[in-house]
Amino acid sequence: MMDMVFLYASMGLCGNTINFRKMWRWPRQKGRETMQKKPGYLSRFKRQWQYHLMLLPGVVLVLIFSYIPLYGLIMAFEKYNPALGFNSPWIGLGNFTYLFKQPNFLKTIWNTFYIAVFKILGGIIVPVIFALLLNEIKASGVKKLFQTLVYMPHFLSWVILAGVLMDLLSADGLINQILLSLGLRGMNFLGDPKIFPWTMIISDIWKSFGFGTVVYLAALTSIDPGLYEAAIMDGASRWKQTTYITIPMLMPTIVLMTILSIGNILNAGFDQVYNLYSPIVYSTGDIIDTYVYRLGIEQAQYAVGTAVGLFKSLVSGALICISYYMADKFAGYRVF
Amino acid sequence: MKRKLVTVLLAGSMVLTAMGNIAYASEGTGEDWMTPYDETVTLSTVREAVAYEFPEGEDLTNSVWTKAYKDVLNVEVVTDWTSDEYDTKLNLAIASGDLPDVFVADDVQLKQLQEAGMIMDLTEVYEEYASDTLKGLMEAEPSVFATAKVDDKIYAIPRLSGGFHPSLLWLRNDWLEETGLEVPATIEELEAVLTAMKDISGNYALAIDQTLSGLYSLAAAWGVYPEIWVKGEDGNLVYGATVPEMKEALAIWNKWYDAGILKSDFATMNEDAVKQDVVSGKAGAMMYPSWQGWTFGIDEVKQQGTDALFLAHELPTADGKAAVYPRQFSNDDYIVVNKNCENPDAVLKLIDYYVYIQADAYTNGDMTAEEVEVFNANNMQHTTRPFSVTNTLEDINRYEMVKEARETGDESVLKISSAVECYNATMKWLNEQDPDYVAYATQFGMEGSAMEKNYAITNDNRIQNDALWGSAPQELLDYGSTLDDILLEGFTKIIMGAEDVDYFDTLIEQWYVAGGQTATDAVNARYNH
Repeated sequence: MMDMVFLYASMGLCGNTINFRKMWRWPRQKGRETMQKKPGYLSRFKRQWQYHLMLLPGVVLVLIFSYIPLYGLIMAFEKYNPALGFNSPWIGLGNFTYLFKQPNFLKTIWNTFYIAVFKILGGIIVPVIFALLLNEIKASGVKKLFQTLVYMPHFLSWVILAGVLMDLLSADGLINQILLSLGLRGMNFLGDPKIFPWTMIISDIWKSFGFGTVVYLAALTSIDPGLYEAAIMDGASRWKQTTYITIPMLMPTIVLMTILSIGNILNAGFDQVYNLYSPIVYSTGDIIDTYVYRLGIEQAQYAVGTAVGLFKSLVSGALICISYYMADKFAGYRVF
Repeated sequence: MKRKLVTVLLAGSMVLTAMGNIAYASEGTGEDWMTPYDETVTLSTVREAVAYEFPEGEDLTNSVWTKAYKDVLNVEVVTDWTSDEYDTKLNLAIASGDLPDVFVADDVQLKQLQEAGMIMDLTEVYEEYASDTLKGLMEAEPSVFATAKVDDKIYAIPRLSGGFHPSLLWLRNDWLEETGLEVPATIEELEAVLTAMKDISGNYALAIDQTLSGLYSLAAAWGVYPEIWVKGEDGNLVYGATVPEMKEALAIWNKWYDAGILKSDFATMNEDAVKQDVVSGKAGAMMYPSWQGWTFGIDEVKQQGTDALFLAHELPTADGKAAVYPRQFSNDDYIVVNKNCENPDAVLKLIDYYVYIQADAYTNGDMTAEEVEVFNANNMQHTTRPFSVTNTLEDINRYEMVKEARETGDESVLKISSAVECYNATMKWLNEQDPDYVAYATQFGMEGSAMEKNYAITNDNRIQNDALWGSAPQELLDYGSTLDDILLEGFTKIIMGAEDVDYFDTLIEQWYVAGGQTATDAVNARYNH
């Protein structure tokens, strides 16, 4: 579901010529030419039915694949036996108490939160800065080249990247050889519990910042050039233009991207961590998903898996609501 | 004259009848399975998708085996689906009730299916249609067979496993010779060998991965068995990794780590990374079961040369006595039959046929070794799932035969087809040094092979069985791998020097608090029951 919203959002942004604020605010904007008479619902529908029809396939798909399966959440409260299906014995919150009684489960929540928060922060700051820098390049060929280059790792799966990183980051790997040749101390990037979470954070930001960059570049091109012209007339320097025009105009996009990514606060990246961690870094690197995987998803404990999913969705849902409310209250930005 | 003829005829027919009876009796009722069906019987099944190398024009549903089912027994096998996510797909099939006639299930699925009444009670069919050979296999492993029964009724045919293969000490032979040292019998001697090997490799010596399974095997040197349940001093069962002697082992391993015998970042290495190191000549020792040659040996010999092969040795011990090895309960899934299946007898017949080809066809003289080989070439025998069980004793049997043939030069002692295959491959290695066959030699065929050690260990009964034999209690299953993870993380820290050896005591306390106590109580309750 979040993915779809994200997709729509990014599609809207990449199609840059549409004004971002206008697009996302239209349901609230009354008045203007058509709304003056406040026509009845039916007559409005009669005039707009083509649009509703176009909406239908999307709505139906979401209904089938996102809403109907919600029924399966019932599993989270059952001692699920695939042979009995949804008629398995009801155990109420049994799966949840089982989870929270597990040694180290709370620790993994903290690890997940820690890694995810820094990934989200880095995932906003780095692409914004990179997009601003890229935007200053005048030669469009060079700009496109860099844009494509940093976008590349986004398409590689973590299974492949993990293999590459393990070679690069091992004790006799390239990175450590460089550190040693510079007279620095070698680092155990994947085996030191203090460093491991940061290896995850930085490598994930490196992998995905190209995608964010594209989104922000799109937003940058939609800024009205008239604003810059006026600022130049007023004698604003390059830096002043950036702080007074570019960044404020980027804010709605940044806020939107933040709100969307806060939904991932309990997803610290299963495939990344699973492919790179080892017992020595469980204390700081074990996240909810990897922990639950070892706990018994291998033994097809679907009920526990569903309970974890539900727990994560509730936490993420609550956080999205809070952050959305705060963005509206303190920054005045709304999506809907 | 006429009367005489009648008498002779009568006598003759009586003899014939009697002979018929004898023949029938000697075959036993268990050999009913050989009779083909008059009308074609169809069985549906599901399979795991594995990339086998089929001969041209053949596939999983049309192989040498399925053709034989049709020709010999008149049974047609239909495959409803194949999937490389077999377990997930099967769970979905179980949930939707859309199950084939016969399929392979794991222990958890077996329990669920049995509780939901979705699988057939096979007791009668087994009695009537299982061949003597199949019954013999099951009776040889009563504790495994018991896990397929509920209230003495048979609900599944366990597929068994490949017998007892303890982890041994594998040393790179050219380096061992270069050190000029004997095969180590004590831990001190092993340390000397490893230290010397480290200098030869210029890197490190003992290859282990992040699971510590290699060192866990070596713990047997101190009489410690980290992965099984053992009897404690007070007569109650305790988890092997928690006994005080483990501390001594950890102290030595920590010393080895500091001395560079272990790799500095072994804790992040998986088996693939270990293999890279071994193949590229960075390490010369490891603990591994008898199939080391298949996993590491072939590539290592190709890369490092034929003298550089790894050979198996018995584990050294702290006090120099012969090592005693741990044995866990093991079984490779279960064959179950849908309760709506119309021909459960056909399922048994197909399993009988598999067992017959593997165990009897060559021995009885019904087929030549070459004819049997067709059924096993390119791993074709593995395409028979769900109609196959493993012969637990096969590895021991073929080791004995190959040894005798090698020593006497008399190939007629090779009475089972797999022994012929093994013998020929070993000879290929010994005579031509062909690396592709090295694994046969180090596992079975050559003098000093891993099976030779296994054989001695089994004969001396130097085996420590897991006190928790059979299926684990639910309390233990509920913890998944989390209890082991606590120990694994703690032990790794001790070995790497991130924690002092005395941290062991704290760690074990933590383990008990985190659920180790609950698990230990449950295991003891099961044991005393």
